[in-house]
Amino acid sequence: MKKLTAVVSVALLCTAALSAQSSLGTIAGLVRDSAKAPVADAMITVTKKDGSAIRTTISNSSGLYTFADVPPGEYSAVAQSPGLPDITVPSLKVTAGQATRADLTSTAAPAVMTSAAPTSILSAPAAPKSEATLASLGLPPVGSLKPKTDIAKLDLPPMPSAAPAQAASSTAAPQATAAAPAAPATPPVDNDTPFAYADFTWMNAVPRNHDSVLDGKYFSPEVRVDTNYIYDYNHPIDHTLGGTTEGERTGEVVLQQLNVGGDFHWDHMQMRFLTQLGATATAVPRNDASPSVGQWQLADAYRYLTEGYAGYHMNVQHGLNFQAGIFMSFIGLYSYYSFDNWGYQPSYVSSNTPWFFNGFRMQWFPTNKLKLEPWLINGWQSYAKFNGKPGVGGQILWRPTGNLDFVWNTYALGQDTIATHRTRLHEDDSMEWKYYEDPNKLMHRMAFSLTFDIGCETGGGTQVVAGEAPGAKVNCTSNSKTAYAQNFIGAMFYNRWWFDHDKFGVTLGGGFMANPGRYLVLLPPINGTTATSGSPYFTQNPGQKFSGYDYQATFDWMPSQFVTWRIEFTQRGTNVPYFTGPGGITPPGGNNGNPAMYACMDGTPSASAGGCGNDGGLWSPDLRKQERRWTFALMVHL
Amino acid sequence: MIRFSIFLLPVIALVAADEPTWNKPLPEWNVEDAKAVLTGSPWVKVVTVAYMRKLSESERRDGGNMEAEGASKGVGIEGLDNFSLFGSGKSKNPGKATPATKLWIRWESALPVRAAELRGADNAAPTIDGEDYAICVYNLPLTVTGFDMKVLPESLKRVGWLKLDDGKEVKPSRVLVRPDGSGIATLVYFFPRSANITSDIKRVEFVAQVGRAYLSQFFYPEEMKFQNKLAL
Repeated sequence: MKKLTAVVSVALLCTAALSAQSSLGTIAGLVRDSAKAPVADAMITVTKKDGSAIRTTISNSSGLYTFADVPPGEYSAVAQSPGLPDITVPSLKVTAGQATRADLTSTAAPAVMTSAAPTSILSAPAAPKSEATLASLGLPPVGSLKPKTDIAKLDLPPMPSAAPAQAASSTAAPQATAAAPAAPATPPVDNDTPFAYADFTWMNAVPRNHDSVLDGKYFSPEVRVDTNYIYDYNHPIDHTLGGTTEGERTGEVVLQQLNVGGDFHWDHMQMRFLTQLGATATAVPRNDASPSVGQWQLADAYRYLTEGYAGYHMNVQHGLNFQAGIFMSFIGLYSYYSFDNWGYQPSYVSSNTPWFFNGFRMQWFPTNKLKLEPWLINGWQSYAKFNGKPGVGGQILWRPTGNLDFVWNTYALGQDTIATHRTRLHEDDSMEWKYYEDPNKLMHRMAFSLTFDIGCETGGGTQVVAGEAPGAKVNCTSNSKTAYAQNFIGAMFYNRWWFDHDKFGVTLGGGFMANPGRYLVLLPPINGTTATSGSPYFTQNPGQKFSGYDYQATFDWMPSQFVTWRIEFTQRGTNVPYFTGPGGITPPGGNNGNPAMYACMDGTPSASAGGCGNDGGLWSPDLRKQERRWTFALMVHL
Repeated sequence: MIRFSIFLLPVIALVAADEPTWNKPLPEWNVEDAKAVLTGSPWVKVVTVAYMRKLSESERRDGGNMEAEGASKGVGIEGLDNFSLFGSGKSKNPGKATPATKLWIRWESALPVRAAELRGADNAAPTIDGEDYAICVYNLPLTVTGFDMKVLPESLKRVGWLKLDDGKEVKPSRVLVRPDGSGIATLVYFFPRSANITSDIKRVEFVAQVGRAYLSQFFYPEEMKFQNKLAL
């Protein structure tokens, strides 16, 4: 025993010397039974009294144990060994740079050992690892070796023959290979990246690309080309379509959109831009009257960009972004880029509502299935601010399963009419449901999208701009003696079928809108009319009712994930003449530069309908209540 | 009685033969017993890592982070080989094939595992503080996961859990990452013992996502007994 004590003393001296300059201490001692004999293989656990640390080791054949590098503080110690009752030292003080001796001696006679382990051991809480160096015991340390070497050296059971083959596949599930029963592991799922836990490329308004051909480390390019040929049964003489943002000309091949750009990304920085070349570069900005407020021709400055924003990403929960600039609006569900959509011509609910916003937004992903996105924006699809108040709004996007999508868009506060203070409110809600899928069938998937919109304007009736007449007073509900009803209700429904492993798609659907004040009616481009100029031929005053319906039948051939060939039949109808008829909507000789005035047959502008007596008479656009057309489109998205 | 015994003896022998060598008092363990625990017991599994598919640009944009772990790092212009207006409808995945990686998952807080590490072999096993269930993932090559070390512990905590067969999910209270400096890391997932996993629970699934690597492994409490008592 003296010899053992000497060993402990030497150990203490050595450890004390080693730790003299340390901020840590050492505990060492002997474990002995009641006969003072050393107890080997006893498990010693020391626990810091504030609960911040627990460490465990095993006594050696001489009953010696040591704990090195122990944080200073008050500890308790317990030794456990089969056949012996627990030996406890209730209080030990560890001092930095010093060794503390704690001998653990049993006061009871050893019990007869049985095969059952002491309950106190089995029920012990999670405990730490050995302090001892165990490499000498014959096994290599697991964590310090390369994986293949580890597995080989430790004689792990051979992998089942099926496992490696599955492992080579990116979709293979891991297989258990230890002695436990073979366990069916679940397929790999990305539970971190928002909306990546399932494949949502089936959705309307989501591109179906799975691969990123040109993707790079710092820049992910994107190229889109959308071309069409529209055959209109009205055969307008000026090849002009009106009342839509998804087609501008008829009987011609049209470059609808050419978008080149992409995303810069590095560290937490974000930047995205996408150009807008082609027919939409004029067809969409002309619906925004806000640049006429003030100077600098913002429509010219911005028209060739569909998206352009800077952003900053933060790793908060599943992601938090702050972005400012021009970004896409998904009010009305459909994407601005037809390649992403199930059809080419969406219903009014989409075509007449915003495609973009200019402002600031935050994207917050509290879970991988939910996005909360508040906006502070200049206005309703506007480059600038119409009046004194900006628009506020936001989107809630929730995809609870891989088959279901809900999106709620809300807009409020904005005063989005020139020269009057009418406040706009709008709610746009959509859901999409993939209700059937069987990859082994020819017709292997079915899904639908449903969108419902309701909105209104309220206020007005006061003069805003000196010299100009105050706009009419409006309210959200119904006509009254002092105010017109100014509201909007609309919906659209589309169902899509996929065939032959996504090579073919068929979509059927349509929608309607009712708008007693025409504030969400796209102005036909009569004589070059824009939202700023207005037109005497199609006014948009409160009290002027507009309602419309439409339906589409679409067939897609998708030979690769990057290409869509599309044929679509569209029929649209309205309660007032609206669509371009055979006579067209362009005055003889072309636009006369005064779209806000009447046009005479010789091109002369006239302030009144009766002012063309000496100019060949009054010219009138040919507007019809119905439009039927075929659209042939070729779209590419890389 | 004799006849009965004659018939019973082989059964007893079989049962005895099935008894794991390590299911005996700790002082009787030798290195081979410890090795058996660390390589072939119900607390230790070897899994083949499954890799999640690369995310497309649109998916990453929808997810709000073009730098997401699933980012394709690009294939350059050769990716255009896939492109054809009259194409086959199939595309070569630009993501490189990822080598199969096998690694260990241990129910680290279980007494037999701790004892085996102490007795047998493994001074590289992490120190465990507190009274949680602890599950360790060993030998994870950092190169194949592509994760950002700065945000790793928090993201690991977010996408790891135990799923009990009654549908209950237990999230880790914390996750430790121990890189060894040579491109290999050990991950320790701590789960609160308040989850109270008992022998009545037939199956516990450990799920973890590390970058693009995905682990899913079942444990069976009924088998995770040491000297007839559940050891987790």
